Amino acid sequence: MARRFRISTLVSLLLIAVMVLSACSFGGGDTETKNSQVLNLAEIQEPPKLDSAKTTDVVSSMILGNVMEGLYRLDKDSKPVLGMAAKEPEVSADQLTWTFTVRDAKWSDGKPVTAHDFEFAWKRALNPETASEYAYILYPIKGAESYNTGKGSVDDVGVRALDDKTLQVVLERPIPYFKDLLCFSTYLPQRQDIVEKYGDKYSLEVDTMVYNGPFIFTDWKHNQSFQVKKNPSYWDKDTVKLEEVNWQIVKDNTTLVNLYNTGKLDFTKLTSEFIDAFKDDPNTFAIYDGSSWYLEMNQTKDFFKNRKIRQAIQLAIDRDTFVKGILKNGSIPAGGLVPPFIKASGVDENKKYRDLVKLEPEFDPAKAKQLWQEGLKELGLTKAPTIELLGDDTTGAKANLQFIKEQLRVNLGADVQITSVPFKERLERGKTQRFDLLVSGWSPDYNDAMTFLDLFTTDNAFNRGKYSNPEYDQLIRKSKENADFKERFQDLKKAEEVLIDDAAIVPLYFRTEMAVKKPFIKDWYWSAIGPEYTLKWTYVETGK
Amino acid sequence: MSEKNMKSLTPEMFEFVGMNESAGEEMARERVGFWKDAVRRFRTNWGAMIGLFIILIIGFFAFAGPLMNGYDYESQNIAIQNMEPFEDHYFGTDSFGRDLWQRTWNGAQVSLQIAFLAALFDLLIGVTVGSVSGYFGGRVDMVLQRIVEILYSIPNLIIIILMLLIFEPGIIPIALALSITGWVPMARVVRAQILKLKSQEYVLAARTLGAGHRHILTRHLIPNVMGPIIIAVTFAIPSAIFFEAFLSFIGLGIRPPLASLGSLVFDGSKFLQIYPYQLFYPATVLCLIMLAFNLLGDGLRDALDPRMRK
Repeated sequence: MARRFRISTLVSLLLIAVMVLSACSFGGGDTETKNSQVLNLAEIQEPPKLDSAKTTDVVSSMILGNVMEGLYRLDKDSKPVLGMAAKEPEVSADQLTWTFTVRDAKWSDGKPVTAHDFEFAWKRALNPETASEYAYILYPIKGAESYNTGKGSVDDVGVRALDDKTLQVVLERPIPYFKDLLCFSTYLPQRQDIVEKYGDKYSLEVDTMVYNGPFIFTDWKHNQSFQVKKNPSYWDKDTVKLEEVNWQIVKDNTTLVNLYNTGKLDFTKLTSEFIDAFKDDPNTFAIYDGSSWYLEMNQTKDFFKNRKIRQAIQLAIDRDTFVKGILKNGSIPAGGLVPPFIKASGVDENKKYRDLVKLEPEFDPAKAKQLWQEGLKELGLTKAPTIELLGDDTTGAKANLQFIKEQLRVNLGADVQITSVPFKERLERGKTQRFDLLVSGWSPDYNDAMTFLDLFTTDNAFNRGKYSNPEYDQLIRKSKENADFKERFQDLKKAEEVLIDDAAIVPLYFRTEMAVKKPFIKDWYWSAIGPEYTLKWTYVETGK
Repeated sequence: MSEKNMKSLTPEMFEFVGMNESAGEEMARERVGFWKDAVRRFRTNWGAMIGLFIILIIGFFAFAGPLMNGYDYESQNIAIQNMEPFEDHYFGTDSFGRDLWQRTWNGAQVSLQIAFLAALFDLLIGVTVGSVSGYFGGRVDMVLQRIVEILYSIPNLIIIILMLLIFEPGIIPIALALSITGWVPMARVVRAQILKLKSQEYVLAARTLGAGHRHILTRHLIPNVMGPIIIAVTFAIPSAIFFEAFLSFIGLGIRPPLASLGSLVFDGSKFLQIYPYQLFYPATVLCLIMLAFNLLGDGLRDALDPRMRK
């Protein structure tokens, strides 16, 4: 016993020494210029599934977005621009029947891209035997859901190649964001002959798939690195400037930053502990990850059924300070639920939803305190109960919880207890309403406000605070079937205003990640939805 | 001696003092008992004195430190986040702008509370089980020792983690979780000592005079095992502090915003490259406490149990 602890003290003394020595700051030789069109990037994991019908993860989707091309692809403003579609489709008056013309393009093995490739790929993803987790993204297509769930037949699925170059798609109901959906990996074409030839081995190696995108996948050392090169048979090859892009697979954040500092990588994301180290670096930039974060209040409990109590909590959190002082990653303080990059789809393709629906975060401790007291009086309480604040147990999440607790303590005098649990446990407790306040986030499935606003209808499984308002439910239900996109937009706007006015949730922030890249990388476009980034237009500014 | 001198001795020169029977028993020097001897040995041990001194200083700051600069451990002030020591923020501020002086001493206080509570629980359970087991022997001993062995064979980290998943983390639950396995070494030490002492003559004498088990245990045996018990407690304290720090480090420790030294070190370690001072102060205090208790324990062992000295 005694001996062991003398060793432990020795170790702690050593640790002090190491600590003092390592306090000397680090810095590395920077290579700020480059003479070739080659990029060295990094991902934190191996792409697990490159089969576009089955893929669900960020890395695979990013690779597919660069080596494949669907009917549309996302441009620098995350707007869909023509890809494999030769021209804008003909759309029927009821917004349900879309007819696309496939452009004269070639696969990397020289065969032409046809409408059949699309029909095959989509029906394959919907086939229950494929067991694609993302099949639901195809559900707007008529008959897709019933086929995928085993109730309908493949012949009733509303997608058909009329000839080699014409693809007809019939939708279940009118949606203003169908073109955005077409940029998703699941909507990419696949070659029937190749898929059938390789069977289980399809897309497991670089030579068991064919490509029709700006790049071709040339090298893949599993769990180590992968590489793409410019595709010489791409239809728009003159636009593509990069010759080669290499990715290393690095799982450790410190290693990533060190590789960046020593010039071995041209880019790295920065986790919270490195943000301060790079705060004066002009090459940092923010990446929207698309998610919206908010507090849910458990409205199965009488205390949170009181609207004034909820409003008091909404007014008592200083979200500006939260974002600038705690998150420090460029996130945007939220006044509403729908994040700023979501489009005003169906109304004005060039505007964002948030441009037209302004909801600023409000912070007013005096009014909050007053509402809190009034709420307590209405409930017949002299003192609020202890409030349990539930959240994740990651370092960042814990810091957020501490900030929220302190805000409620100082501004309302509320006694808040923090419970941090692992991610799965948080979901489980949220689902079964075992919390008072819950920090939740939601990432969008498609580029439309509906993907967020749909969450808080009475019977939605992700409405964990059990907010319920018939007016809100009615507005959402109507918008789902509405072919009048202008009216639909107004209804969605109204729904969000009702949501915030009711203080159903407390919007916290729209999350971004910080990253740093070498200044010679230009026109590198990121998107919060669909493939994470596209390199089609990216180039290296050479020789200065 | 010359003859002349011999002649000069006369009977008048002698005085009769009589016979003093107790004089033979009296000691020439001051009587030095066990404890006095221990104190003397302890005082000559420089390491132990330094350890004691450090513990007193840290103990003083842990309780008086938070009164010194008028902040508290939980109030946030984002405007002064991550500041190196300035004005009366003697240790600077953390990423929430909370005063690190307050948090460090508060953390030291929490760590010490947990450690002393855990040591107290160890003491109560360990001494009871160990002495009963050693004294009564036989079937009682068999059963108790099997329990001890089972507890000893399961890695204590697992038990502690499981305990903390059931309890809500706080000072008392953590102390309890630590002592669930922590009492085992104490019980073993006490049992071994009692086994040795129970066959001594003075126990036999007491039993002959009609003393009950309880009297023999509490009056004759346990006082004679005090030395090893004190040593075991002194080593249990840094062990508990270390374990608590470890639990905080893996996220099972005290609930924020309350901090312990372990959780402060953990928070600080994330900013090691940018704000090293956030790690430096709590880590220094933590290491000093550990070092001091180990020095003190070594010194006490040398003083109370000289035979174990190497």
